[in-house]
Amino acid sequence: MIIEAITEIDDGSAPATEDLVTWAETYGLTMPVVADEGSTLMWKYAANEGGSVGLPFTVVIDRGVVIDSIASGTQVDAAVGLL
Amino acid sequence: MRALWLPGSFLLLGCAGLFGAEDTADDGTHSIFDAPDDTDDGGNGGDDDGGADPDDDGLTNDEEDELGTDPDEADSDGDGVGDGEELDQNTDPLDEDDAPYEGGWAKDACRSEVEGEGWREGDVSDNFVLSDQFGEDVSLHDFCDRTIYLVFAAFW
Repeated sequence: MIIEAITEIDDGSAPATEDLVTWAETYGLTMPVVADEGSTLMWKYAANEGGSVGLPFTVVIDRGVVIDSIASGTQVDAAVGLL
Repeated sequence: MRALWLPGSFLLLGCAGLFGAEDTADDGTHSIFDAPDDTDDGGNGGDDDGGADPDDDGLTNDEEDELGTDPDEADSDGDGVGDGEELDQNTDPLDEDDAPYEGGWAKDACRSEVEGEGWREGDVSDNFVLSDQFGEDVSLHDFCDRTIYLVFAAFW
């Protein structure tokens, strides 16, 4: 399952619900698109990244909710490998 | 009114009204041995057929009795989702705040068993709850039995 967390919109502010709807409709997403206001959640996962991350920033979590890997950039192969 | 002879040869006048008993067994008799109410059907509100589903919510009277849901109300907690569907979706049919996601994402049965450990690789992830495109709060631990690919992005 994919969860997409939007940290901010183009003016730097936090995404509102209508922004999430726009994003989901624009890309035809049927998965949860959530608002991570102030990147608060992202920085919890990125605490060991030295204060700098690249987007997309991704986290792969296995069945059982154990964090498998955290990285700047995509990790599609890691995620698919856990399916 | 009926008379019962009991050992010891004394007469007991058994008046149904005296004991507050009615013909709850609906067998045409008024006995003090009839239960006050609702024991013949497992407590499902007077319907003798435990396998019936009068509210058409996908659960039988016996199942509703066991769950504590209302056998005559398809949506016992009034959250807009039928009792049977709530069971299928691993949500609580007696908790109006616990319902399937509007977006259609199923919740896993293990979600109440997860205890987070932190945010690092190898940890059981702490839970997070964030608002989605439907305005609902999405909880990570609701998806405890599947691989999650969490992607952080921005609108720029």
